[in-house]
Amino acid sequence: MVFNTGAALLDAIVLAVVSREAEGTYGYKITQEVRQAIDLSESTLYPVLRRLQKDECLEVYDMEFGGRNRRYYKITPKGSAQLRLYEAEWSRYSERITAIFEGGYR
Amino acid sequence: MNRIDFMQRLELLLLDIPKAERQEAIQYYEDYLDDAGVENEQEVLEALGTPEELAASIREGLKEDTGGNGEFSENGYHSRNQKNENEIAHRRNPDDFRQQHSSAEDFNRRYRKEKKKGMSPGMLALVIILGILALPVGLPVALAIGIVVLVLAIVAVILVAVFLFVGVICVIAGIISIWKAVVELFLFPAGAVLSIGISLVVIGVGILLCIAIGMPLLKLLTRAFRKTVDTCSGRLHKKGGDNV
Repeated sequence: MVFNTGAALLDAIVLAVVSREAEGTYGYKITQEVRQAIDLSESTLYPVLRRLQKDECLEVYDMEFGGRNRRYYKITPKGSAQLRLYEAEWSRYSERITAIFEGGYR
Repeated sequence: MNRIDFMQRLELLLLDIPKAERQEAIQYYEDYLDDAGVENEQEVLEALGTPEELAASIREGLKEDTGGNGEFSENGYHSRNQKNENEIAHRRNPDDFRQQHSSAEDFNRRYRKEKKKGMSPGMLALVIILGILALPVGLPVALAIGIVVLVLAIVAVILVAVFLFVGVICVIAGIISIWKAVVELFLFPAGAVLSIGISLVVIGVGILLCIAIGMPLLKLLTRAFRKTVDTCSGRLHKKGGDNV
């Protein structure tokens, strides 16, 4: 990965990944899915999830799985709103940059 | 380090954060390892780094919501004070990283990190072995040097104390004998004047002794005191700086 992923973009990616599962998803799976897009060290995600949880963008609940309690993360209405904002910002941002790369932007 | 040791160490390292936060983090990583599966356990543990590194990342995350000035990115936590705009640390594939980026600073940082990590266990073992081998010779020599230094220090302290004492005694004795001489001035004028003169000389010698011994001693003590204060405040300052 050549480009650095800042905090806002990482938040956006995590919110997008979590929002894909209506019933919520769990830490290991989130990490694997975020890794499909960016190179993420295994220890990076926990603080991000914790922060998003504190900002009320994510909510957590425990559900029994395979004889143990697994913690699930689920997007909140506030998180969805935040994600839409990020998506709009991202499409503007990436369009402008693509335009410059392709030489069409004045 | 196996999973149980790793998690116990992590929990121990997080004892100073709020209990709820600690339990959250522990549960997250227990979940994480469970979901990774037993067959991937060792690999995941290695990818998580040392318990110390993991604890630091959890702790930094807590600092963030109390207004810390750093941010998370794919490479973990970065303080905004650091110059990291162009830093792309590629942990899992260092060769790739080097081909793509030859920024000298980044390269140096990586290199130093690797060097430190690679050398330390071997060096440590070597130092320990050398230390053990040198013990039969080193211990008596060190002991002897220690005793000599101690004796010299004691002698020096005693000498200083004696000279100081003599000085003070001279001054006191001089003053007393002047007083006696003044009383005798009318009975034996010549003897009394002689005795006053001698007394003044003795007082002078006493004052000289006190100044000669006392002043350097005072200077030494103030310097030692200032140095201690400096070291303490310096350490405190450094500690504060690391926390930022």
